[in-house]
Amino acid sequence: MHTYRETIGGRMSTGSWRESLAGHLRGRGMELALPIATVAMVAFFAASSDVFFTGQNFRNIGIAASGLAAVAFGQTFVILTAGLDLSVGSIVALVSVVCAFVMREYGIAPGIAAALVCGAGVGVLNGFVITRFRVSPFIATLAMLSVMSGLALNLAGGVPIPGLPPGFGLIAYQSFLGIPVPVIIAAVTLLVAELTLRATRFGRHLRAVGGNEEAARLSGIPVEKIRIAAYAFCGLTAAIGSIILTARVSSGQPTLGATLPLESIAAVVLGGVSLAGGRGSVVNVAVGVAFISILANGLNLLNISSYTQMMIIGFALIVAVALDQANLRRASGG
Amino acid sequence: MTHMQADGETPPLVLVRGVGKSYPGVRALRGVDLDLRPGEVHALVGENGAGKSTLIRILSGATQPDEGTIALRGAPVTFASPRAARDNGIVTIFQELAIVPGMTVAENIVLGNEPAGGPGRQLYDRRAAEALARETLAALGCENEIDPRARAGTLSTGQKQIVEIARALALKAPVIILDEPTASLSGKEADALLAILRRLRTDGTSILYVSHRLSEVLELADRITVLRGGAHVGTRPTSAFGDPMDLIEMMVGRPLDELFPPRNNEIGALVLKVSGLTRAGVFQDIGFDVKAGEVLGFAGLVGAGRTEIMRAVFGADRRDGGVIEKDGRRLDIRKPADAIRNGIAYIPEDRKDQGLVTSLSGHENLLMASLADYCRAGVVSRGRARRAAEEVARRLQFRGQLAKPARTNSGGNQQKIVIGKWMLSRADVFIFDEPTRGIDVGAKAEIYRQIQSLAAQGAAIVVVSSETSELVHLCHRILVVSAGRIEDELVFEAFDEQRILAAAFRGHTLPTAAHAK
Repeated sequence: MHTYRETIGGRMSTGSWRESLAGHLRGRGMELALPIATVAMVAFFAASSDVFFTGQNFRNIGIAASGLAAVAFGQTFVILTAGLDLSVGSIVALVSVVCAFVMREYGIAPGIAAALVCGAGVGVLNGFVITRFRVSPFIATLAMLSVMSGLALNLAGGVPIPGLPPGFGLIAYQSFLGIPVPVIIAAVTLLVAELTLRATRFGRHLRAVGGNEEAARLSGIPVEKIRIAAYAFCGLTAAIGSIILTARVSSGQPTLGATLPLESIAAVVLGGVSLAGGRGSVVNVAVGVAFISILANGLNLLNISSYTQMMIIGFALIVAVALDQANLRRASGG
Repeated sequence: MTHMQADGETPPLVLVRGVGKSYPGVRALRGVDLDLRPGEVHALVGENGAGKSTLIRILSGATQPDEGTIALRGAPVTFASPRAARDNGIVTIFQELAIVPGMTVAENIVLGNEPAGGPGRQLYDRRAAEALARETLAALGCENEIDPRARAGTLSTGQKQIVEIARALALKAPVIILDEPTASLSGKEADALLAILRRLRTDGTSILYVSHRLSEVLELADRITVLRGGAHVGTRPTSAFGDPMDLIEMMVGRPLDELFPPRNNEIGALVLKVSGLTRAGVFQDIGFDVKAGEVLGFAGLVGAGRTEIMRAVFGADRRDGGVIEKDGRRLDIRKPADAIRNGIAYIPEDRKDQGLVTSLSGHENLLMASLADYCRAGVVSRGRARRAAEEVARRLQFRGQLAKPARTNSGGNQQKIVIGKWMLSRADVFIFDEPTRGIDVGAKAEIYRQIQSLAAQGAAIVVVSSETSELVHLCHRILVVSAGRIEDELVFEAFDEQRILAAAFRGHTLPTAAHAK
């Protein structure tokens, strides 16, 4: 049926390996910059503080990072579709409240189940508003941030919900094989997210939608469903993050997670995921999370106030986005 | 003819020599010369992709040439920005009008050049602006038609165009460049615009004028420059052309027989049948059919509605009515996935915007429409998917790198990725929308070979192209669409480019024709 001309077809474009290596490094510049910066930062803190470079401190960093990690992995999915989820913080708060109520009445497992359903549900709602009513992700999730914060505060009456089963707190403080449980939860989330992105049809469709929505649509990809699924996944991982954070404080907190929208977006962008969509990996986002968490921990040890930390993270986000923009300009050849 | 004659003694106002410009994968312009004399209307014509827009963009400072020189009144100039071109007296009016709808006509006319008064000359002088607006509009003979205090958003397209011309006049620009100024105007408005341009010429303004409406060009221009494939074919006084057909011959060039493989001669059963396809205001009552092994061409002008028709068949755009049948079975196509499931493929006009996800690899793009075939429980079987993609790339003689982002490949190789995507989805109806736009001649020849090879394998092929010569050499049958209707049908023994062009212009030259897009 077809004519085969393998002699020509199989040949790849030529060019010296030196050129191709240089091209490779140029393309990977962003990816390498963050791990190098992270290592440099670790070296700096290790030199400035006696307690920083200890096993116990790294366990602390891990526990502190795991909540943000879960949220950032979901955020990655949304940003890959060229979207944005500003409502993750309020999802964390709402889930914390819902989880606490259900858990107090029915026990740990139903509480966790309710938390996951609640998080994914808000995500679906986000996706629905964005795809059906064509509200931009920025506005839709900003509005949802307000709606869900208000709902969480209303449900809780504005105060923390105490009286959770004592077993629940163990999630935050137990270890398994020497690894804190929150870190294990975050690692599993990372694994699932990365495999979903790399190996599944959904993952590829997600990147296609983010890279070029029209081309994806014309290829028969159900663009709207993919978008909604991305927000649902983001809501789900926000719920996972909320469970970790709620377990740490052993109570339902209607004000939990207020800094998470900014921190999660910063981690994603630091991890080299393009805000323009389509490009990035969850593993690199994990490095972004590590960067932010180590920075916070180290600055704490150096007695630098959390207010200053906020300023530093804000600046880091601007730098990361500026680098992403410079990358995009180069890629588009203009 | 009536005015400034080519006497060879008037020194040119603008002198372009050997200008070239390349974009990744395509050489848009090479060695182009152009001279614009004071007080002449100089028309720039050519098929789509001939390099007209690139040349205009260079002259307007929107882009910079890779080679060649531009001289203004004998002194070499370089335009680093649109602002620089404007400061040198070259004002360009693009098809996308630069009008701020919320501002008044006067404010628009003085935009970027506002008369100032008051302390430190920092206050906007409304009176002076309106006086200037009134003065320039009067110079164009439109003082009664357009009120300087009206909001620009309330004006018609033709009036907005006049406001832009008034802006150029307020700047006392000696050179005005117009890109398809009449494309979206009604017959009456176009006539009014042409009258204004004649008036400007009498006052000594030089006008460079790009238009697809050849009869209009012949009526208005003093000289005509023809571009083809990015190169300068020639510049002649308008009197050298008898009718639009002479001009078309020069635009199209020699028949390019050697480019085209022989037509597939095994025509099979009817595959796709479309009838009564209608979308209000865009296209009406479109009916056509394609047989297995047949290549059906859709000729027409840009904006005639051909792309919209194909997108409706593919389910990418809505339709108000019409039946789509395949292999005698009526299809219910509501979205692209429905068409794809039924073996219909659409290869869009705009590769970068619609055909490819340029940030993803060639592999991923190739598999985009058929990933379900290579999945088990939603998980992609990498090896199998990769082998299928490589196999199809080999069949298409793809010479780029599949593992790299699609954007790093040349235009021809990108097009092969798009075609390969649909070969993998096992389509047997292929709709090509402007398949060779913006790619070089060698890559074009390969695309033609692919089309004939698909036809030889029994696929039914539809090709939309604005290059009439391409259709004439490629197709078994050609339908001509004009202003959303099928105006003519020709079979290949009786192909006649002049008849096709005449039909293509028919619907558009009617004064009442409301143009799609």
